[in-house]
Amino acid sequence: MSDILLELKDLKVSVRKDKSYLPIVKGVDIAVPKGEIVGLVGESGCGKSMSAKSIMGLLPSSARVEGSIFWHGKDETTDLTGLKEKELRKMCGPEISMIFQEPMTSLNPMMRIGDQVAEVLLVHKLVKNRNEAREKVICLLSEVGISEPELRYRSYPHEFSGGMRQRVMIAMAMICEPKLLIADEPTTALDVTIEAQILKLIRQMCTSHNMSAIIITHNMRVVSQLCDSVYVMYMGRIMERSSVRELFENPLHPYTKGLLSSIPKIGDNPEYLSTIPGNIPEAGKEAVGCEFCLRCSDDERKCFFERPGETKISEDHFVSCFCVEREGRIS
Amino acid sequence: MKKENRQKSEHEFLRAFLQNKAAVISTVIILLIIILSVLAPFLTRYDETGQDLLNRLMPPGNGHIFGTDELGRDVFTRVFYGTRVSLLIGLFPTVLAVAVGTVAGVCAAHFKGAADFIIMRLADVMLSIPGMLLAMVVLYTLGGSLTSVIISLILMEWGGIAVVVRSAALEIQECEYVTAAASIGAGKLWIILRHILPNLLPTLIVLFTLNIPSSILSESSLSFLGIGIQPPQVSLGLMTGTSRQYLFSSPHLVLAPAVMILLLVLSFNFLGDALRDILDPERKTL
Amino acid sequence: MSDELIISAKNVTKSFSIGGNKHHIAVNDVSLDMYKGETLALVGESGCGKSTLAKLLMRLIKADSGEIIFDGIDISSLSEKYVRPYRKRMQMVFQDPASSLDPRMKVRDIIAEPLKVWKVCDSKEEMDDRVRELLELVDLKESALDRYPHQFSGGQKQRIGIARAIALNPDLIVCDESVSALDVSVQAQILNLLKRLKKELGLSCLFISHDLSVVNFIADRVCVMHDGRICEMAAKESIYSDPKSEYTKYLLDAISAS
Repeated sequence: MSDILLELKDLKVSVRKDKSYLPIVKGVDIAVPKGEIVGLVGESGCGKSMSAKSIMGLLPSSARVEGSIFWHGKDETTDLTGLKEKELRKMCGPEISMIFQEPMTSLNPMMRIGDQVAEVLLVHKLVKNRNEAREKVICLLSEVGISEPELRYRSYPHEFSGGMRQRVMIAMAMICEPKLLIADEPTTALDVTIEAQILKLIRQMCTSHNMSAIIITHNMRVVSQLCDSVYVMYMGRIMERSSVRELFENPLHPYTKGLLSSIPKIGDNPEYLSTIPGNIPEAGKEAVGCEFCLRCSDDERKCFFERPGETKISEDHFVSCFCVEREGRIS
Repeated sequence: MKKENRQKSEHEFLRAFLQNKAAVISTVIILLIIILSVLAPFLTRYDETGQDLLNRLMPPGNGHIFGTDELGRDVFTRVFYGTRVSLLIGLFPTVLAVAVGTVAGVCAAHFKGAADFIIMRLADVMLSIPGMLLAMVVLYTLGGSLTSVIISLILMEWGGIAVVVRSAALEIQECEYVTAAASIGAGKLWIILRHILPNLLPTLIVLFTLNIPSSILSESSLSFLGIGIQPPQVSLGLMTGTSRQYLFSSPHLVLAPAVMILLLVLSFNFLGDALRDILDPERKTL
Repeated sequence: MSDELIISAKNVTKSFSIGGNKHHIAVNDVSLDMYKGETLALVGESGCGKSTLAKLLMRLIKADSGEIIFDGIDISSLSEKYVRPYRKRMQMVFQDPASSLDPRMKVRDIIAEPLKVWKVCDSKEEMDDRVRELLELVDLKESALDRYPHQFSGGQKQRIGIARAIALNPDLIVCDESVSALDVSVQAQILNLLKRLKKELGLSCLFISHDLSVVNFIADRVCVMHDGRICEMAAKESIYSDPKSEYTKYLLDAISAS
């Protein structure tokens, strides 16, 4: 087929609360091309994490998923939402793997670093014995930038710093050579200097292993440093999607504009920062019109009653906003 | 103003309480049991100690709602008289033990150092002596009576409560809002009363509801050993204990008090759970 | 900004025991001066000792050696009883707005707590008026008064925390990573609020952060810490354009990589 690896089609996720279902993700389409790094940005409660977790079936049992997630494997296309738990588990590791925000809690404190990474191989029976696993792990540990991997193999997580632990997490995710890596806020818990190193490492791993990645983050700097294309989410919907360069040079959706301009910048000293008025609404509220209209500076009556469709700006730039439509930027 | 506020919050509590089915039902059951056991003398024409040797081990019916026991006493009457004693033993020592344990645990957590060491070692000593042994020592020295049973139950229970409260209090102390209160300039007592105790509440409710049944059951073991409540006084524990030998021939003797204990224990557990929900601001949906 | 000092640290050292006889020196022989009305930013990566230094300045923990001089008096050696009056004059805004507010207290009681502790209001009406006034200062609606913290979003919770911190009209507020847990769009709102309050109320502010771009917006002077020591301290204008120490350059490089 084409060079698309993973496709989310009209994905909806809702979570049960008391007796009703709250819509968290309200129909998103995301396509991950082979070898590309896709960013999902948005603020808390926008559904970015939920969308990513639904791919690996990691949602809580109270969640309900609708829509489809197409995985374009070597010779066949499968809908991940239709798979049984057991079949999905088989995919996790060899095909898709995930790294999390907290490198502190994602590792078992009672287990040696090396054994934890090797465990993944043994679970999926990708190696014949422990010795072979060990060799592979040591090789990979040095690849993710851990010095003296033979020695470090026997260390416990608490002997490692946050950045080192995240490196181990990346090694764990990479050990089965997956085709897709999902990283949920991979650098949020880390210092800026470490963040730069980890981002570089993820980039490097993607290029050298021809791997695709989905990066979930709230940090625009991470997106600009790492991603090829980016989806901006707000309240469970995609507001704008484009290539990274295009998004930073020519943001069109009022939300994207607001986000970018509310980040303080060095070398620019305004008296006050420009802000997006209002607060982030509680997740799970359904709006009739545009989800962003209540905080938008550019709203019109229409925005409250009707939901804007996606407007194509260029080959890889799409915006869901009436203002953009009105200004006739359709090419 | 403050009065107004307090009235308002009481009103809110009452409304939330009435909306909670478990809370209302368990309260009604508990109140019913209390009223029935207080009014017991007016409910039956039998005396709780009155023996009727001709009508021994009668099955339920024939004027005896729950039948009669091995000495021909009316089981129905005895169950309600026994409930009086068991309620006293379930509630009174538990309230006191929770109070003592909370003070000890909070002090240990808050003052740390020597106070912590002394209180916790004392609790350890109490915990390391088997509860029954401890109770037996107290009961042999003070003699078997309601008061000495209560004292020995408090001694048995406070240590465990103190240990749990201490660890919960330590956790609360680590919370930033406690640091925030300290940075405002609030004193130790202020922090304990306004921040630590209110946030300990869920833990205390659980401890309380867990300890009521264990008090009732400990009393029954003590009475069974013959050192707790002394006949002719009755308690639910004593009744189940002495009727054990008739378990197969006259099961109603054991069943009647056992069902009563079950009803009491379940009601208090449900009430505790419901209270925890009602008092938790995060579960309230406004 | 005046030349008058509000708080200064002189050769302050603090170490923590990390099991056995080993000690970790969190703050190592640090000296700094803060002037009335200025915003001084403490910048550094996690574990550099910036939060420990802030807690030392506020006397929430005791220094091993050195002096902390607040308004001409060395508060580092005072006992708890004598420090208390100074607590009224320094307040803190915490990092995590969710955990710094007591979940079992209503917003009304949270904001009124410092007023109650210090008994500054003569009557209930006066206290109520003050609480409403504070609420307005931080742009919250009056309907917030009878709600609990969990009913608010992160940004609103931080506003409540700020209202509590300014309730007693302090001379100094310490913001410990107060905006780093917030979402981008809300972070900008809170930063603007802090800047506005500082101007309106004439506060001095010690702003602790790991984010150099946030610091650039809010601070007058910047103090970069690394491994428990201050490695550079300069006016904002010069530290970004002409960093002197290697470590500052390294930090600036990391965020300008894009």
